[in-house]
Amino acid sequence: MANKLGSITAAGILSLSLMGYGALASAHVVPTAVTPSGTLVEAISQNPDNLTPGMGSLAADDGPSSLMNVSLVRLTTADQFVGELATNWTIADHGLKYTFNLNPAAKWSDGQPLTSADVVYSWHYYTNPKIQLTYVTGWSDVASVVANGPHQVIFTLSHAYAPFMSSVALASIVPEHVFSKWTVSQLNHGYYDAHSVVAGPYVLQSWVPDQQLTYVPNPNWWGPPVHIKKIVFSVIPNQDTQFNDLLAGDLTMASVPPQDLSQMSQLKGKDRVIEPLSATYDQITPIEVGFLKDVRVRQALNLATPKQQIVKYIMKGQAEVAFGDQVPGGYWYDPHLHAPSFNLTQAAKILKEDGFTKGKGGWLYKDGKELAVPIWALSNDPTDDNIEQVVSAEWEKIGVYAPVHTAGAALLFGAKGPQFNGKMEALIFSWGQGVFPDDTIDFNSAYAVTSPTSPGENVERYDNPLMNKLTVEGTTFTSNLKRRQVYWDIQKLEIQTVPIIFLFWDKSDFAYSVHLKGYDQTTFATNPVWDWSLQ
Amino acid sequence: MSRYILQRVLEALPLLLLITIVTYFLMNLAPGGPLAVYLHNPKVTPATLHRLSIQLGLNQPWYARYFSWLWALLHGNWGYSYFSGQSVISLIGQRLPNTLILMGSSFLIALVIGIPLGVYVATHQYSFQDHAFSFLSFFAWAMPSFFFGLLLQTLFAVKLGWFPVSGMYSVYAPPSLIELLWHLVLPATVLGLGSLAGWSRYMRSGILEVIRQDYVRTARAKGLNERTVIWKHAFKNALLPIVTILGLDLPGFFGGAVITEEIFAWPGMGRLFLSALNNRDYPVEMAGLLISAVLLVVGNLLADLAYSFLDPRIQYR
Repeated sequence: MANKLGSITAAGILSLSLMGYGALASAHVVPTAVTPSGTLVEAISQNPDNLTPGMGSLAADDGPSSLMNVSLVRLTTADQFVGELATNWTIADHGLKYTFNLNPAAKWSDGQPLTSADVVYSWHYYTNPKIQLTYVTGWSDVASVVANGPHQVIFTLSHAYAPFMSSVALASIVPEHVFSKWTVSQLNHGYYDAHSVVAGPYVLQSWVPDQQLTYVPNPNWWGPPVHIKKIVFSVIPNQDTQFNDLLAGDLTMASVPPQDLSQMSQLKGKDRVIEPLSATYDQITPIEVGFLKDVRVRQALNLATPKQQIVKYIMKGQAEVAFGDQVPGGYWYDPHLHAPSFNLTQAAKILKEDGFTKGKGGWLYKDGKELAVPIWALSNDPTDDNIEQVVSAEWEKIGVYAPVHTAGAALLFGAKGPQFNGKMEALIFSWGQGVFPDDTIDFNSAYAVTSPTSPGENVERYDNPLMNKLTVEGTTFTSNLKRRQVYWDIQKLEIQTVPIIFLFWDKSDFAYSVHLKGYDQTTFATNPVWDWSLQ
Repeated sequence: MSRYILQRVLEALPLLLLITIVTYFLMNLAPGGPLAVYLHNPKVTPATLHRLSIQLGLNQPWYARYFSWLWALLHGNWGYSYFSGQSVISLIGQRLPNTLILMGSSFLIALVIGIPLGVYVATHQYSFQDHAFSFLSFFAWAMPSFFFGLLLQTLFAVKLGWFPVSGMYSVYAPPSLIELLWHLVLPATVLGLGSLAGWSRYMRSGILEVIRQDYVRTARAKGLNERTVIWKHAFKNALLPIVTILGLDLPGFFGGAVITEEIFAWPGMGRLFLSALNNRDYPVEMAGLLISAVLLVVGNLLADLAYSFLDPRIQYR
């Protein structure tokens, strides 16, 4: 579980999507003559580790990869799928058959045509057990991919897999005529990074490790014309340095760290700041053993958690209170949700009705056992360390003994950590909702985590037959409306049964130069690079 | 002399071997592991983790992996990064020149200013300059480099615009020596200042100690001028402790300066090894530790050899 936030971020804003299939793609656009101009410089916090499709493991890979690669579809800022390589598509056989018609103008950067053979080869590539792929989902559910002429490709699934569009259809297509000539060893050892042949709007001109990646327009780009002559990703690991670079005017765009928000006025006139909600929520995971298996205890702890105050005083308003695990305002979010507010009296009442009485030390006891829930947070996360202090103080007001602990990720999520000691514990950390949405690994009891190597993310070991049923339906229903109802039901169940205590959704503060036009960013997507220009 | 060097090198080999065994063992003992970063990611399936574990050889016991690593190393293969897939040697080769430039510059700053400054204040003991320097050197020594770095950045890059905020070259201009030097000023100053303060204090103490020795008194009694007494007789002997420190500092020049590199986005070895450490990228970690260990041994050897040069009474056979 270490690096959860990093991993979910690595899933990538640019590769994340919400909507299901059904949106028809626009017809392909014939490029018109435009002379690109200007240099756009974006800060990234880490050196990309591997740009070979499917092999990167960092969030820093996403921006550069998005300029180079194309997939069958892309996600708009309105959370709709539109065609990228595909001009349109159809779905048949109850979600088992997807047919994509490809843009006949599509080419690779070496001038070779991009055809259905490349899509078929991509399937073989993403399912090759010898290739060291990491973030690849959904391809194993594909039973076959067949080319029907050079510009049509048919996917047949082994079983209905609702997140197909947001996983397989969003995966980068790889060039058969290049990859098939390379050895597995070359592919696994980063050969692509220096010899990339791409189909996206930009090509990698140079990469100075830990310093910068420079992109220039792809001379064989077949999509809408781009307007920016050079795009540079500047690797700046320290957030304060990024902010100083913004102030000095060296960057066109960068995220603004929370500690520098008070200085944002210095950016006025030079930069615009947008605050999309990030796909990351902070939460308290109760390990559901002992009294924490009791839903009423979890409800009481949820009521005794001062989320509004945390958002106001600790997050300085840079967050939104969370009730469930779907991003507020997104397609899957239930706008009718009404979550109970912070109420210590009600929390104490629930515990009293549940049979808890005050005992030694003023703490609550039941059947001679103390209601003790130690709270843990990462030692290098000052925000969560503050939160655990506040939560502990409130829980102790209702008689729950809640000492606070901090630990490094290795201990907190390791075999000797609080997850696996068999005691009631509560862990504060960040997690994310993404592309699918798919709550199966989070709340289905088949994914209860019992050891550090257990698959899934049901750390709390939540076990609810209705949730098990809903999470399966969420990934198999083919109707988007039906799926949305499933996720609405899951959110209701989350409020009622409190598998975890949702705290807040982070806002991400992102600054970009006033000279950059046409740029937009939402929780899951950024508008395409050909819409951007520098003035 | 050459026999002595050969003997020291032969003595170092079992030590280095022991270091590699202990570090490899400890590295594997640490919780987590190279696949921890993927472990609970919804996009990484258990099947993928299993496949990666086999592909990277992580399903084998640590000693089996150690011997594979050692065997490959003895055949000139330093291995491949678990994350980028690139060869460890190329990862180091890309960053080592940058680290040498930064560390070398800070070394020069510390040496060229620190040593003469130490001599100067030692020869003006208890003067105003001595007190002022003592205050400033302790202040510089105590100043955390991340804070000092951000301070210089805010003042000289953001407010005054005299120097760039970060990086090694400007994005907007072609790489050149002028560009490099311009980008080097702030990080080299931050890095050099700590050593400058330290070395000058050692130099001050060294000079103060030797100028009370009989041979210095004799030199003065012979009527030599003060400059000759200090620089010809006292200075050489006062250098001995500094040489030891320089020898021990040598691995640092390879390892880079993590904090300064991070603050100034300098693409050096420090960031590479920190990232490898965080990601449990064993092949990169092992390379860094082994090279540091070798440099420590070499640094000590060079310091010992320098002793005989500085002090003829020390003879190696």
